[in-house]
Amino acid sequence: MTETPLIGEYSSSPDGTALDGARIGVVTFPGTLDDRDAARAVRLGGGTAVPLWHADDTLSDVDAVVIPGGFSYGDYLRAGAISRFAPLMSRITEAATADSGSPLPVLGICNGFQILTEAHLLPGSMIKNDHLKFRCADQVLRVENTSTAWTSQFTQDELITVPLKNQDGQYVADEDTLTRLEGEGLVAFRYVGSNPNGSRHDIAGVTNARGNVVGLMPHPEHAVEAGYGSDDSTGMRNGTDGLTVFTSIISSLAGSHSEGGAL
Amino acid sequence: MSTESTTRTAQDQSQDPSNDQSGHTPASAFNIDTVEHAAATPETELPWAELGLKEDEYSRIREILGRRPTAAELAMYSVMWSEHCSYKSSKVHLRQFGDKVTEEMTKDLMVGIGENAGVTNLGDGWAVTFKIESHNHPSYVEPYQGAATGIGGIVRDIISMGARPVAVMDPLRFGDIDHPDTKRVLPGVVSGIGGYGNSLGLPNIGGEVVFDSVYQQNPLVNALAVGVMRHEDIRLANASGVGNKVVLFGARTGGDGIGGASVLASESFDDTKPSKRPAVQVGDPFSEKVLIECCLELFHAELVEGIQDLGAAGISCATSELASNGEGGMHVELTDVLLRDPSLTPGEILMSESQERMMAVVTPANAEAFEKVMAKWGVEYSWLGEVTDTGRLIIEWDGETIVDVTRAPWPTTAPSTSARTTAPPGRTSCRPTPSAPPRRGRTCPPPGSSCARPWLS
Repeated sequence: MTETPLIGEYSSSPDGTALDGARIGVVTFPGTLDDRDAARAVRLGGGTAVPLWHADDTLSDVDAVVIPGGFSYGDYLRAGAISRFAPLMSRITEAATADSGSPLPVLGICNGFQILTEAHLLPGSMIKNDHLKFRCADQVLRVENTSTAWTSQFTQDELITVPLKNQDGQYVADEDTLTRLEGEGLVAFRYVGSNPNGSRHDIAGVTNARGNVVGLMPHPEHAVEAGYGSDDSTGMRNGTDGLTVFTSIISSLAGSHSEGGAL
Repeated sequence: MSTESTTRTAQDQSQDPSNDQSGHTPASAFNIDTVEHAAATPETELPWAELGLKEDEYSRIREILGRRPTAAELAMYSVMWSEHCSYKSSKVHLRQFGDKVTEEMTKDLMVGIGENAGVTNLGDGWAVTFKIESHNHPSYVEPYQGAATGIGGIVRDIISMGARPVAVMDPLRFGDIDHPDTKRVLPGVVSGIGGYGNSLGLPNIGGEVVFDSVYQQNPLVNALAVGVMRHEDIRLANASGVGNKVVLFGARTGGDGIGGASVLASESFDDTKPSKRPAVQVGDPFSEKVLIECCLELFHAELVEGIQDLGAAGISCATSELASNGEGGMHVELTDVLLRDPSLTPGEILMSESQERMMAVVTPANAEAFEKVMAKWGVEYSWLGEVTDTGRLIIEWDGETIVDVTRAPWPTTAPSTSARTTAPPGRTSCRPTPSAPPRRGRTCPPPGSSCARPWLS
C-alpha cells in the first residue's frame, strides 16, 4: 500500500498491482475535501485511483468514477448547483447515460450525491437537515439493493456502519418519485435506527434503474481501514464496512470485462 | 492632518476608475501624504491617539524616522505596535517560553519562536506543526465571524510552514453560564469554529470550556490548528534574493477589520464613502480551501522563495515580516493591490484585515509557472513589487513614496508596557506560585465546566 501523499497528485504508480487494471477516476472540484480518502479507498479496494480535475474535458479512459464529498464550489447557496455545469460533469453524464451495454459506473458520496441529483443522474434532492445542525456520527445503514455496480458484494439487507457528516443531508423527493423508488427497488441504502436528518422514507442512498449510478450521503470511503474507520464490535475505529463499496466496483468491472462488456 | 497642505493636484481628474483593472479610485481622490511632504511639514498633527498610540510611542516613531510619519506610516505603526501584533504588554510574560526552555524540551523542535508556527519532529521524516491563537475581541463583537476567522488565520499560518492542515481544537472561556450575554456569544463561537473548519475538511478533535464571570465581556476564544508535513517540505517566511518579485494572491482587499483606521478617513475628500467599516473580518472558507491547495501546489513545484499569510495588520504586517526576515529590503506599489472596495485609502489598504490572502516572493524565472498555478485554482493575484538591497521597506502610491522605513523587525521595536493586574475575587494571585502547580479556575469548577457537553455543538 503506497502512502497517499499530503501534497501533489494522489494517483498510484502506473505499474501498480491493480486488479484487472481497473482505473477508477476520483473527481476534484476546487472545494472537494475527501478526494484523497476516496483515492485511498479505491486502492485498498484493489483499483488504481486516477485523479480527474473538474475543468478537464476528458475522462482519461477511466472505467468508473467517484465524486467525493466536500464543498465543490463553496456551496453557499445550493450544494452541487454550480458543479453540474463543470466540463467534466458533461463527460460523466454522457458516459453514464450512454446506450451502450456498459454505461460508466458513477458513485457520488455526500456532496457527490448532491451533484448527481443536480445533474439529474439521480432523482430527488438534498435540503438542510430537519434539526438544522451539522451532524457527524457513525451511522447504521441497510443495503437494500445489491445488484448495482457499487453494492454487488454486499448481502441483501446487510447492516453496515459508516460515518455520516453533513448539514444538508435531508433527502427529499415528490411522492410519485418516492413511490417509484420503493416500487422498483431503487433505494440502495436506508438509515437504520434513528433517521439522522429527516430524509424521506429514511433514504440514505439511491441508484438509477440501470444500477451504474449510485449516490449516498454517508461516507463509505471513511471506513475502509482498521484504526481509521467506524467503531465496531472489535474496537474503536476498526470498522471497514465501507470497503465493500470499492471491492464491489472492482469485481463488477472485472465481471463486465470477462463477460464481454455486460455490466 | 491638514487637508489643504496635503492635497495632490497633478492628477488627471478625468480618469475613469472603471478602466482601472485593480478597481482603484483615481489617486486624485485622496490626499496622499508622501514621505517628502511629511519631511516638509513636521508640525502637521496626526491622529496618533485615536489610532491607539501613546504619546511616548508617537515620539519614538518620530525618533526612529527622524521626521513625522506619513499617514500611511502612522497607520502601519499603530497596527504593528498594537497589543495584537507586538504583544507589548504580554511579552514580558511570553519571554518565559524562551528563557525557561531546556535542551531536553527542544530536542525534537525543528522550528521555534519567531516563525508562523512551531514545528516538531515526529520521526521517520515526518513533522507536525501547531499554531494556537486567540481571537477574543472579534469573537465577543461578532461571535460567528470572529471565531471563524480565528480558524482562518491559524490555518494560513500552518499552510505558510508548508504543511497540510489536518485538524483544529478550541479551548474556550466564557462568562457565567447563566448570563444572557453568554447565550449570545457561545453558540456563534462554537458554530463559527466548527463551520469554518469543516468547510476546509478539518475536524475539531478536541477542546475545553470553562464558565466564569471573569470572562464576562471578555471571552477567551483560542483556536489551534495542526498540520502535517515531510521534513523537506518545511518553509520559512523570508524575502531573500534581490530582484525577486512580491505577489499578493487570494481574496481581494476590502474594508474588513479596519475600524481603527476610520480616523484616517480624513485622507479622503469624499464624505459619501462608506467610512463606518466593519471592525470584524468576514470569512470565506471556500477561498481558504482553494488557497490551501494552491499554496501546497506552489510549494510542491518549488515556485516560491518565501511566503507569508495576511492576518492582523494585513499588508503592513506581511511586507514587514517578509522584509525583516530576509536579508534585503522591499519595494511595493500599493495601487497594484486588487480591491473589492475602490474607495479604500492607502492607509486603509495597508491596515485591511480582509481574510484569505497570502503574500509570496517569487523569482522572475518562476513567475509564469506561478501564474499557471493561480489560473488552475482560479485565484486572483497581483504583482506588487520586488525585493531590493536597500535594507528599507518602501511603499509607493502611484509612484510617490508614502512609506519609507528600515526593515528592522517592527513589532520587536515596540516599547514594552506593563499591564495592571488584579486577582479576581476568590483568588489570591494572578500568577502561579513557584511551589504550587497553576490553578485553573476555582478549586471547585464553576457550574457547567465539568460535565458532558454535546449540547455545546
